[in-house]
Amino acid sequence: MNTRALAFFGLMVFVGLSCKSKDDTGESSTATKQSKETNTQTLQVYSGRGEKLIGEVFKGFEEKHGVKLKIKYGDTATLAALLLEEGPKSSVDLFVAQDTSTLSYLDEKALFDVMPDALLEKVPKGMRSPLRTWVGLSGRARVLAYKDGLNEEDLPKSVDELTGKKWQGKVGWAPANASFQGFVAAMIALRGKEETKAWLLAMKANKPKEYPKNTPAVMAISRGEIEVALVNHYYLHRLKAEHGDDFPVKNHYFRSGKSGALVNLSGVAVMKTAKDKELAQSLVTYLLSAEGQKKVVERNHEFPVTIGATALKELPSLESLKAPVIDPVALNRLEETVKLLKETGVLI
Amino acid sequence: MAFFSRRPLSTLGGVLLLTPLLVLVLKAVEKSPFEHFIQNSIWLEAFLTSGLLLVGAALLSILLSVPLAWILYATDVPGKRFFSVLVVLPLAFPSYVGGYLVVSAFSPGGLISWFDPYSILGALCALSFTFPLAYLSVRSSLNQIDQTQWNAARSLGLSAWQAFWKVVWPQIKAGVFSGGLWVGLYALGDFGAVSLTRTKTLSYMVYLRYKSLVEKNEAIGFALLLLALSLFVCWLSFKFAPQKNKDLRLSKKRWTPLSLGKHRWWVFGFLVCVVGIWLVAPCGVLLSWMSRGHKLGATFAMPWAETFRTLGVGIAGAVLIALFSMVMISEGFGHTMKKKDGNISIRLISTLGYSLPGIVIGITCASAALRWIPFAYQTVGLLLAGLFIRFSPLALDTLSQAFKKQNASSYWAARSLGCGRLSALAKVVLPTMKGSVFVAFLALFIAIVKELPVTMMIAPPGFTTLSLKIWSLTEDAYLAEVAPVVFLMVLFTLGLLWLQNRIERPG
Repeated sequence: MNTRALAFFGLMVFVGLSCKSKDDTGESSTATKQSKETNTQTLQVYSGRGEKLIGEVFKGFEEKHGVKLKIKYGDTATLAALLLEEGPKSSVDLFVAQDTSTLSYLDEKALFDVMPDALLEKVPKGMRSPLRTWVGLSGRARVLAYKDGLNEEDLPKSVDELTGKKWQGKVGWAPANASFQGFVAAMIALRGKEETKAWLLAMKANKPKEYPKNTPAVMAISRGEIEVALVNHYYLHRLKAEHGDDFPVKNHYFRSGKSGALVNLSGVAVMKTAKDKELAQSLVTYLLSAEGQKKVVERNHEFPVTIGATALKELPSLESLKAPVIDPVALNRLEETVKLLKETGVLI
Repeated sequence: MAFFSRRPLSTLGGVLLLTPLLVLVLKAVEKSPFEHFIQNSIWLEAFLTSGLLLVGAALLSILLSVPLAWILYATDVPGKRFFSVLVVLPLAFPSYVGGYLVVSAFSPGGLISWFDPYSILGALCALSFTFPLAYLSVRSSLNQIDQTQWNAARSLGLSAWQAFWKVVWPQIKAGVFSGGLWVGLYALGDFGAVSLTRTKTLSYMVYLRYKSLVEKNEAIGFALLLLALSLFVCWLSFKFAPQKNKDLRLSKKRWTPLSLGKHRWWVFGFLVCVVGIWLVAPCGVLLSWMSRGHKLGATFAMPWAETFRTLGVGIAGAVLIALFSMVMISEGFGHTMKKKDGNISIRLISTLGYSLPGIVIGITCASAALRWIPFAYQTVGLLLAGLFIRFSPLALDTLSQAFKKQNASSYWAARSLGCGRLSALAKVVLPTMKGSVFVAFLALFIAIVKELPVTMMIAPPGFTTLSLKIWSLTEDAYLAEVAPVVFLMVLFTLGLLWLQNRIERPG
């Protein structure tokens, strides 16, 4: 018995090690790629967008262009921190981020390469970097998710009403979340710092419940822990797919043209350290093609951003959301936003 | 340090273990992370919360594992073998799965809203899934107790309780204490459980500051603070922790189970409760996610590549780290075979990596590699080094405890008969401590397989493991697809425990 167990154990170690060494050779083939010994071209991608949400698009590109993608999936901020650490020593070709404030922050540190106009002009002006370094990939609308059963007329017309007595202790938010911070940045851009500060303080006084991320906030509505939450629109669709159509939460679009109706973006940039810039750009071209856009937005019920793309049937059209028109530069004052959030005690 | 001269592998290991501290200090000097600390008191609050969580988690795990281990080792409770495997399995759940379960069970509108889960109490509940770490430690120290002393104590008229305190406790208290310490240190570095229960600990602050890119510098400050706390706790525990009573002889005889008599069934009930709460309930929730998802058409494709990669890294990593730790110990790292308590600063170094949040290990390893060994960046080798820094403390502790119980003279006899250090280890020492080696291997394997932030940051691109997959699926709320992957991890653990049973069985 004993020897058999040991033999089995030995076999497992062997499988493990051989598996590891296989990956090792995978690594060295990336290295030899630069010396062009092998014919398959490779691109290294850091993706803050999860495999479930973007993996298929990457696969589509690999098949169509015969390029091998080496992808590191992770959390947008973690990967950004890693890119900053790597600096000029990086071997990364492209960075896909879930939010544009991270993109702009890295942009300020001059990590991205300029893209050709033909590529940039596939998306409207407000959905790309004014420095011509990144483009939007998909749109994610800010909404007020609410408990099914609340009357739509009773819902607030704007975020300002959420500071009223009626909503005391009933609102959920996720202040550490990048998309929430994008919304606050939009408010600063539209109304100025003082008014935004006043709103944050009034909200804070109204005892909102704080969640680490959007999903737990929407789940909390379904349990009845809170009645409404300031989140992105697609979590509802995801959780409905998970829990069934009777999941007791609905989305309320503010359609106000103000910060509450903001549409955040996920986006992509080519790194300055990319070895073959044209190859890297060809991935961006694919992501912005009709086929690529369809695959990007379909899974997660997001809004396509390229000019002329058709939105998903289940969603309202992008135009009908009346998102505020804000200069992307103004939206990206991450530092100022975080400072204000801490000043008001919303963030610790 | 004089210690490191002529101890090449310990030197290498020591340098690796010190890397995070070194990089943190370098960064702290460059970026002055404490600027904002004076203005606000959040750091004090976080410091206290972390301390409280550490003590709470340690106590909870000890209260649970001592009776469990004793019952499962020493008594004739029905289903013993079965239960000894089941109680280890909760360790396979990643801590954010625990956090998720606790929040959905206890929050208003949840199943049982006895208390507010968004508190330190909730975090403790979520972290309680790590109790098997303490259980394993207690269990392996029980293996060494001597039944003749127990029988003598009993025949002299001591009650079972008294006999336990007089005979067993002195033998196992060191193991109990270190088991508790490891659970506590785990709690200190955890992120998943504390973030979902909104408990603002130092590790939570580290993550929060890292994630908001503009305040990355402050993360260094919090990380250093965390390190200070963990070093202080370890120092306290090394200084004042109970030492094993050296005078008691070790038994090689097998323990004959004590009869529980009429208490059998309520003891059995206790075991059922433990397994029910920490294993069956979470598995039930996962199953319900799965079946719900299945009805709604979620598909599940077996992640073969990720599974093999995870097994490969888990097994290779655990074997390498255990071997390396063993060599370091044989060179005198940690406890020595010669000196009584070993060198306390060396022992402190050996705990450095475990209590730091993974994100700190990840970023400091990346930074160190980019600075000093750029060719190693994004290789599996670097990943293994990172995992060594993070988890070798687990192995160093378990193995050095076992080493201390060794008869040093047989080792030196082998050496004097011309065996080299390694072959003496392999031929004389290893065979007598394979139980502890396996416990170390098991703890390492589970830890590596569950590990997330270090893998996310320094694994080569394309190197997706099961824990990365679980994280990514949870992040995007693909709950139905998370469940089978978590079950896979439980299955691995189960396989290993079965193997352990095989190895420990005589003949």
